[in-house]
Amino acid sequence: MSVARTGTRAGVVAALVMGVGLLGLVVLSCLKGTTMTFGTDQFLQGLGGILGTDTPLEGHHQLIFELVTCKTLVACGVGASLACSGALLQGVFRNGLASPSILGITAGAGLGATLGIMLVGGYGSNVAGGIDLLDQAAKHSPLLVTITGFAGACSVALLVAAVGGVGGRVSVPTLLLVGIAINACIAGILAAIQAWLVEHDWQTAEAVYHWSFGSLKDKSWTQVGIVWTGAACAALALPFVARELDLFAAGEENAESLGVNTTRTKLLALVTASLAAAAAVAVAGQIAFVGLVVPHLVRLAGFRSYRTLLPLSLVGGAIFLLGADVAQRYLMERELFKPGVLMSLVGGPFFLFLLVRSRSEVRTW
Amino acid sequence: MVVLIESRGLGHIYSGGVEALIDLDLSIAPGEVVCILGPNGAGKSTLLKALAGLLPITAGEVTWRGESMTGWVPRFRARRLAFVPQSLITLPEVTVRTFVAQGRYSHQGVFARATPEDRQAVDQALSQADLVDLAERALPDLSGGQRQRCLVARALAQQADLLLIDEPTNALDPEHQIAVFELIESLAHEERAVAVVTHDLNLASQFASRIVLLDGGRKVADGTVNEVLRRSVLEPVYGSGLRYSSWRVEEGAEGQADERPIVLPWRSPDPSALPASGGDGGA
Repeated sequence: MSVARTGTRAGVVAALVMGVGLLGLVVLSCLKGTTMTFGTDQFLQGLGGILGTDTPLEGHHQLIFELVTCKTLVACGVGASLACSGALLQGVFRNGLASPSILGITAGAGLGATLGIMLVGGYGSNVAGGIDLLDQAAKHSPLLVTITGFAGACSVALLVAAVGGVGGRVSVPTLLLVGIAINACIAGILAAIQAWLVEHDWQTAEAVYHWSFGSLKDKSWTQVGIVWTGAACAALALPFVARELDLFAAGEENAESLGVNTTRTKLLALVTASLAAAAAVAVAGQIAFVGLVVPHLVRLAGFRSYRTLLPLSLVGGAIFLLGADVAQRYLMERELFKPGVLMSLVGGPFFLFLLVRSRSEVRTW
Repeated sequence: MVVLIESRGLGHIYSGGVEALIDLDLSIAPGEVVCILGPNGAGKSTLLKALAGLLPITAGEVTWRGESMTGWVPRFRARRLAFVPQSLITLPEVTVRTFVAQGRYSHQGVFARATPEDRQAVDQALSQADLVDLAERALPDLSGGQRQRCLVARALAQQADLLLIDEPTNALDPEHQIAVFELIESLAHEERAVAVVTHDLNLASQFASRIVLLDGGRKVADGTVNEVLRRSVLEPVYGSGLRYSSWRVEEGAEGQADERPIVLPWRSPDPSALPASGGDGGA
């Protein structure tokens, strides 16, 4: 049978190839806006305009170029964060079905963002009992939905850690059950809010609906900063958890007997996975499947050791999300599907196809 | 006498309130092969895990070379004692060499790559466990006996002074049972000791330098093979379903004779079922 590629050489080669591919995708993405296309000289000038080394493009062209660039960078950051978050959670839970949504992080961000959208929609005074300041803040802060989404995701992560961590030890099955319970609670709250909005305020209901399928459009540099900070947090944690998660694969007791501080590893992996996912979901909304599929695609390529799986998931996530968006823009000439819908439509069947092709029985000792 | 590990008044209570270990005193010295015996639920595996630091101690104390082990971090502990489980919950899809090299984790830093010392320790462990020819084979492709040797080899790569081995011969045929115990016997020397949990009284009879018998979480006997494997000691623990005999073993260049007990589970209560009887039980 085949064995996991644990050698770093194959991983480095794969990372280099994927890095070059990602760079090509980034350039392709920046050249093609939804309303206009840029040439390579315009691309270089626009880039110089952003960096302050060249005169900006004329008129609104620079603004559009920057919007496309922000969208590209957000897509990379969101894809990388979600995929890396998924890989980390799969390692901690020793379960290939784990993803940011399993702990309720995505649902927490969803609830936070929904409340944010309601504030923008003018419910601040109703919700907060007549405090007009919230209304005003909502209207003047385009980041409000991002901030409330992030707050929702982080609150859930803290709640899960507080309830799931018993006596200073983190119990993985308990965490899983806590995540399921929180998901169910939040789904109920969201359904109730959505039902009320549909009856009373169609416009806000539509905004919540649009957010729930994710969006990469109209992003600012601040949002690029938020999502890349999340991705950077995940990347920085990788050297401290990768080898440990490899030893986790054969059980926590196995890892601990070999010298792994299992509680520290679980906490570090959970906190960074939550941060990365929270940042991604808060900025771009709920984009399904990336966190689940990308680590599996990397595994199917033979990189099953977390030392290569985690960094390759980071790059692979960026390629996956940006690639799907770029393909849609070039092939359909417009953005027909939201990224969340696109991921489900393309990613689902593709993943199923790969699984059937490489189907093998689970091996036990 | 130098003592590697010593427990005094050791106790462990499971979260459900079950007392798995009660007031247990035990010491293990370098060079010993200590077989830990006892019926199901006696606390054998719990004892091994408590000594390995994998289960919290709820009473008493464990010391290492006279110093308390309280507060030891896992990495520090894994360089001194190695735990070999019965099996792993999943079968890692790696080569034998990669699997054995996992034993070096506690010797390496965060960014450290494998050093020449790491490679030497892995090579030595593979050689001691007779796995050199299988080093590049995938672990799932090996037989049960070979996988058991891989687990022992991984513990050897930890270069620990005490190996705690939990039921290593489960589901192995007789030939592989002997091979695994011969390997275990060869590992004990002036610096290193081995503690093995087993259900096989006759393997313990052949390979143990000392036997510790547990029942209901308490230590009920601790002595040489001939002191423990006798009817008066075993019957209160295992009941009357055992038959006792002995085997005369010629040992050493001068051909000294040694009587080793044989203890067999036997369905018939009739003592005449076995032709010869030994120890203090056959008469």
